[in-house]
Amino acid sequence: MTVEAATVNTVTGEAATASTVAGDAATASTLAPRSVSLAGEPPHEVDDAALRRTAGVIRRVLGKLAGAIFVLWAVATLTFALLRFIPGDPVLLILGTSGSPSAAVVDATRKAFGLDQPVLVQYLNFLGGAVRGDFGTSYQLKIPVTTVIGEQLPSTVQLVVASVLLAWIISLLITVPTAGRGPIVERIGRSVEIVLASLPHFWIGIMLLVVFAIGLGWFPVAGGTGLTGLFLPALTLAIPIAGFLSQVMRESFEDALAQPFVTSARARGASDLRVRFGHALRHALLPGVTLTGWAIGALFSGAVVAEVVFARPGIGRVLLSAVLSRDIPVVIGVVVVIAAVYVVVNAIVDILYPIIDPRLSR
Amino acid sequence: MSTLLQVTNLTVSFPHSGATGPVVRNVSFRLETGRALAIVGESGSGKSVIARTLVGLTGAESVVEADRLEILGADVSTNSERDWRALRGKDVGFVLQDALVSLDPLRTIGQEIEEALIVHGVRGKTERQVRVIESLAAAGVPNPQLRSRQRSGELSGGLRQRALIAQALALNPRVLIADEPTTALDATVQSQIIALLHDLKSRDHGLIIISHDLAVVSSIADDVLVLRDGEVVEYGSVDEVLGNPRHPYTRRLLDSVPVAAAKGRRLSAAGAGDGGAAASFDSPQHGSAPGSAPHHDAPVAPALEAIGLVKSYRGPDRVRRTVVRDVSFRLRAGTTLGIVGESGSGKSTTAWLALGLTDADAGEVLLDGQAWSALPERDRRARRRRIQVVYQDPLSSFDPRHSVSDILIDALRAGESLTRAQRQDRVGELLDSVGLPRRFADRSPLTLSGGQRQRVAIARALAPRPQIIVLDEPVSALDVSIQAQVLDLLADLQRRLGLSFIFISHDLGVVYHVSDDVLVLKDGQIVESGSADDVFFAPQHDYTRALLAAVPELPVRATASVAASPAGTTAFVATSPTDSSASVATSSARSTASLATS
Repeated sequence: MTVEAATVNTVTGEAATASTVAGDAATASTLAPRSVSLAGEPPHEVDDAALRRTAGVIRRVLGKLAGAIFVLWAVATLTFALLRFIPGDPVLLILGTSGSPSAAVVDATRKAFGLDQPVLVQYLNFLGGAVRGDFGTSYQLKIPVTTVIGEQLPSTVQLVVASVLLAWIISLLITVPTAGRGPIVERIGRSVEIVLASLPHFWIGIMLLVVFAIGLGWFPVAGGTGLTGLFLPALTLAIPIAGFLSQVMRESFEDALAQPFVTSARARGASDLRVRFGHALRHALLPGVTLTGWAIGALFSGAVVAEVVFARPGIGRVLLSAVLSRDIPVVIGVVVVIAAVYVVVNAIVDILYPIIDPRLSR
Repeated sequence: MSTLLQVTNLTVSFPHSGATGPVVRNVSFRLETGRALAIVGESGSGKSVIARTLVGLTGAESVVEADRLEILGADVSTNSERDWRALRGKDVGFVLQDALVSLDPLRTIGQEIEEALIVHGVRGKTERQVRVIESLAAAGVPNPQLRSRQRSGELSGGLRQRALIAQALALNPRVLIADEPTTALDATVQSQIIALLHDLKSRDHGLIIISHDLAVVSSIADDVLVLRDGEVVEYGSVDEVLGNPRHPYTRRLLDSVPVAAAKGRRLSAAGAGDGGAAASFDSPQHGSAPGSAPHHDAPVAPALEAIGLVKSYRGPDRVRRTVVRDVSFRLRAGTTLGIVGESGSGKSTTAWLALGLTDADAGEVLLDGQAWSALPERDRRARRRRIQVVYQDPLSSFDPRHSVSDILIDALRAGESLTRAQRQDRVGELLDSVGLPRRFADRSPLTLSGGQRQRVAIARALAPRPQIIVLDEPVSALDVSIQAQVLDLLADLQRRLGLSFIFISHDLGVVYHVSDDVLVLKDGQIVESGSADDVFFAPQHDYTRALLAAVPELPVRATASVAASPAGTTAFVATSPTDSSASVATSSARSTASLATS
């Protein structure tokens, strides 16, 4: 559910970018070229242009904000509805399956959790709480959902950030030296990428654990604080992402290397290294950044494998156990947090686009 | 004067590419300071490979052999990659074709120029900044401080080309190689770039100009090397080679250029089809004026009429820009209306309005005297087949998965309902009519040459039996001899099928060659219109005169004896109408003479 909602958001984000590009093309084809207007324009017209640009930026930011709020609302509502309409009485889940509680206890619990009210009222209460950052109380742990998430989130954030960094390092090491080096090197590079991308997380995790933690003893087997405890779980998540990342970056990297501006750079004496890092890499960043945006969101919910294998605390484990025990408030809370991560990451990606490719900024 | 380049028996081959034999064979030439050598030939003749050999950029797969390969007196035939790097940009500057893609679109012009300085060890940020500005100024870029902070995409075509030259000039190399430096530029911009190249020559740079445009070559170069299939066909001074070509290939190249003298005459030698058979021109008076059938004085009903067209677009900054303002014209049935103007002048928008692909803000287009643009699309659809279009780059308008026959059958559906067998017949007929062999029906357009693709595009336009074809820069991407064949084909088709053409081009020579009437557009307005001869030989408007003055000219050829006459040049601009008629008369006399000799 989360993933779908978030994908929709990514897609609209891309559509927006695409339309800006089309808009640019339209300006280019109109009569007054930019360069001319910049050369001999009276100052007040420049002010006008600046004002218009600022107005455009504000409009865009407001639009994005409205979109973000809509996504979060939709995710929360869909999750709420889905979980509420699954057959079975939530009160029995709260009280646990052992024994048969008396009718009085059931009624009291129902009242305490507000489940005696009509669904619509429950929904509005839920929304009202959510706006104030209150997702209710966990059925199982009997503590506020925000506390549950707050305790587990930092560990997951740490893991996700480390994984993404590792994934970028690995894919740059695979792509930059091998792209455009003739068909044989290229085929080897592509094969490595496909293997990496298709390895399942749990298998990587167990293999890393067996070899580097149990066999060689370089890293702690379970838990472990600090960077040593972080490395193996982060690598587990990073490897498949590195495979995907290299695939999309190689494509653009090779396209860029075949462009005439690369020949221009070589013809003014630039070395191969300079051509690759100074010119081609920047052209390959855009698809890499897009994919990273998706990967960060996916890692938040997908971190569970690494968290379980390496016995780490984290939001993934919370979600897993909450789903299994139908701890509805926790599930909704985690899902909304993950959706929020998608929204924030996509916003960052949108900000990065014009920095990487200034042609997208107009 | 000292020798900058000395090349003797240069042979370049790519043994692993599966090509048969070397792509450059036994090529020898010399370049001296203050002189320009032009390397001329069609695509695939090996001219770009020679250019790349001079900077050691032929690639790891290539084998370069030469008896002598000297740059600034030093032997470079055994250079390592490191030696080449030290030389590139410093001794030899290389200006690639198409500035839009030859400068990194993500980096500013300043960064691009600075890179040359960094890699050649110029220390100090401020020192480099100063030199960046200097090289931009040397390339004639006005306001260099501002331009150095802009990216290639933000500059106009001319400025972009100057910026590209500036980055090659950053270290003031003695030798400058320019690959098609003026191709795809508007005529006035082209003449500015030619002036810049002249200026560089006078500052003791040696230039190598690679081009297929003989008129441009004749206006810059001192020497010419004509290349065909990697071999030198002719080598000598411009006057010798272009003025008195000895080799039939050089003569054919020269004949293909649509100069004023050649109006109404075939440009390509008969039978020299590009891969296929020549067009099946069933012309009884082959060699006479193809476009001159309708007479000016005869009242011919307009096939298409535009009245007061206005079109504006709103940019992303929400400002409306008027692209076409108050444009009116008549396309007489069976004639060609040429539309000329620089990029951004509204040529293509005018074509879109005529095609009914976009709606005008004001004004109307009449097709065959009946309402056209004013109708809703639903009512237009039935008559759509009457007006067809051919674009500059046909490949991007083909579905890449379709074969030639799929493309044509798709277009046939728009016309009449046919049985399968009838459709096959029509595909065959269409291929015949554009001079392609019928076996091409099963080929993919990807496997065809540029000229063949354009023939397919023309066949597709012919499929629904139209009365009007809009040709938007139809030959601009083609080599001059292929261009000549396509222009001849269009003339044949017009005569045979009674078609009317709207012909859009930035190439004035081509427009003059094909057009009966001409419109000159500037900033979306018609500044001049009239018969082709009037507009080209007695231009009334300053802008038209400026456009015409910017067109580079071929030197007079010595093959015809009348060439000695003062009006024997192919210049378009004449001071008075009487003069111009004299010039036309002598030119046609001369062309007959040259036809007789060839």
